Parts: sequence; structure tokens; C-alpha cells
Amino acid sequence: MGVLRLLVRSEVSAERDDRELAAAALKGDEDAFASLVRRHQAGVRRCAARILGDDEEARDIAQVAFVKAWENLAKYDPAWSFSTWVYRIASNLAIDVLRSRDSRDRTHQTHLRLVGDSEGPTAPRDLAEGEVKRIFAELANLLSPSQRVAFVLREVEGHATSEVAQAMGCTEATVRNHVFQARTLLRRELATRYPEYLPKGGKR
Amino acid sequence: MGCEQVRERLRGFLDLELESAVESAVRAHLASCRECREAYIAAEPSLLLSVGQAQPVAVDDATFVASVMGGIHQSRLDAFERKHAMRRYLAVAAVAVLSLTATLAYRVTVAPTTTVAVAPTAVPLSPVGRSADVEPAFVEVEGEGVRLYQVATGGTSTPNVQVAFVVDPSLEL
Repeated sequence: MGVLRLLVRSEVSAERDDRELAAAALKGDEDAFASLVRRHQAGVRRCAARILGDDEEARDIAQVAFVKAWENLAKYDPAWSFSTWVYRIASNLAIDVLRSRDSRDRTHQTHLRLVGDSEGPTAPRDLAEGEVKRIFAELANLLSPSQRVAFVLREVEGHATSEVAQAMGCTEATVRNHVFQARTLLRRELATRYPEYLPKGGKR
Repeated sequence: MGCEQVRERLRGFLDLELESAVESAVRAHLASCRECREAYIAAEPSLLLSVGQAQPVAVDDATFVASVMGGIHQSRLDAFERKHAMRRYLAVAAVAVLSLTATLAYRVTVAPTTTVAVAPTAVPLSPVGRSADVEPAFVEVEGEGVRLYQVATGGTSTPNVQVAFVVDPSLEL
């Protein structure tokens, strides 16, 4: 419990620092804004990469998101954490990219994987980080942009439901719905395409 | 947080009901404890794709920050160019308006008026043979007031010819 309190306190002081840096950046302090970029770029890029399934595209989206954040600093509400605000900009950009992609391209990226021996291993195969990323990129194409963003922000990045709601500009109930729908869809596709990775007797 | 505490919070985790700090602690435990992770995945298989991606991706800080700041500088330059382009347009427009205003003012107040009849004007003429008391016809030509003096109605050879003089009304003949 003491560790938890320490974590919460450090997060609160970091957020306060972010707001002070944002206030300085609003007055034209570029070094302050560069500090904010340095602090949050890993999370924003990772989040964008998981939403888009493409590291290079995610880098571009993250860059545009930070530039837009700079241009709209006057609109930043300190009631939000700075990171949530940038995630919101990046999520909207990523959703625009997903919607602009040709639906035919998305269909080509998903393929039916041949399921091998019906007698799979008794224990689920271990998945390497890269394999998890590849499978998620494949299956996430089946999600709607909103489901995808909600799943990445909530389940993968571990942001609070309230933060995800702020980032997506919707209610917490809507975020939960998106997450539950995404889970149902991913669960079904995992059971169909990659049953060897699932524990025997688990939920399908 | 120990395994027992994590397993007790499985339902709350799946229903998205855990407090943020508690959920962070559960995730941290799942990242390091295979047994608890498998128990969670057995309850909700999609967690295979979420807790399995919890590791941060290595990124190159320096070049990314430099590219963002470069984008910001370009954005400021573009905004500066747009602002000055607008000022140039406004300056040219202001000069044009002033020139036009000055020209109009000059024409109205200083330049002599010149009246030109644009089209033949049909005017009612004084009947032939009337005395000089008869008021000459007054017509307007191009907004300027003029007097029309019928000098002659033509002789026997040209009975229908009329001559009109356009005269400034202020110069009464």
C-alpha cells in the first residue's frame, strides 16, 4: 500500500509539472514544450503504433499531434492532464487515418490462418512480444476505429476509464461498451485463428 | 500486491471497476507473474493481446524531439508569412480605396463639368411663332440641367430641322 501511495504521489507531482511547463510554453517557452515532448513522446508513439499497427505512421502521427498541441496551447484546459490532452489529439488523428484507409486494404490484411493439429498443447504457447504485436495488428483491423482506440488506451496502455473518455470525447459508459465489444470480437477471433495460444478450458 | 490479492480482483479488473492505482498494481503484477497472467487470460482471452503488450517500445528521443520542434518552427514561419501577406493585401487595398476616393472628390469639387448628351433626346418643343416670353424647354441630359433653345424650325427647304443648344442653366441667355 505504501508503494501505491508513492506511485500516486509521484504521478500527481508529474502532472503538476506538466501544467507548469504547458503554461510556460503558452508564453512562448519552446524549451518547456520540448521537455513535455520528451516526457510523453514514448507513450504517444507507442499508443499510436498499437492503434495503427505501423511504427513509421505512428511516428508521423505523434509528431503532428505534438505540433498541433503547440499550435492550440491556448485551448488547453489545465483541468486535464497534459498527457490526456495530447492522447486525445493523437487518437483523433489515428482515427482519421483508420477511416481513410481503404476498407479493401483492411480486408486483405486479415487472413484466415490454417489451424493445425487439433490436439494442441495442454498449456498455451508462450507468445513473444513481437508475435503479440503482429497478431494484435492483424485482429485489430476487425475492430471499428473507436473500439480499437478504446481497447488500446484502456486495455493495452492501462489508462483510467475517465482518462480514456476524455481522450475520446465520450462518456465512460461509452468507453466500457467499446472495450467490451472489442474484447468479444478479439476473443472470438483468437479462438478461431490462434487456439494454441489460449489455455485449455478457458472462456471462448 | 501478492498473487492472492490479484486473483481476488479479477472480477473488478474485467468489469473495469478497479481504481486506477489498484489496476496499475494488478497490471504490474501480471507483467511479472505468469500464473496470475494465465488465470486472467483463461477468464478473458483478449487479455493475451493487452497484458502481453505492456512492455514499452524503445524510441529514439533526440531525433523525434528535434523533428517536433522543427515542425513547430515551420508552423510559426507559416503563420508569420500568412500574417504579413494579409498586411500587404490590406495595404494595397487601402491605397486603391484612397486613390479612388481622391479621384472622385477631385471630379466633384474641382474639375469643370462637361455635359454630353448620350443619346438623342426627344423634347417637347415650343410651338413655332411664339413670342420670346415662352419659357424654353428644360430637359436634363446626363443628370445635368440644361436649357434647350429652339432657334429655328427650319425654312421652307428644311422644315423639320431643329437646332438645340446645350446651355448651363446658371448662364441665362
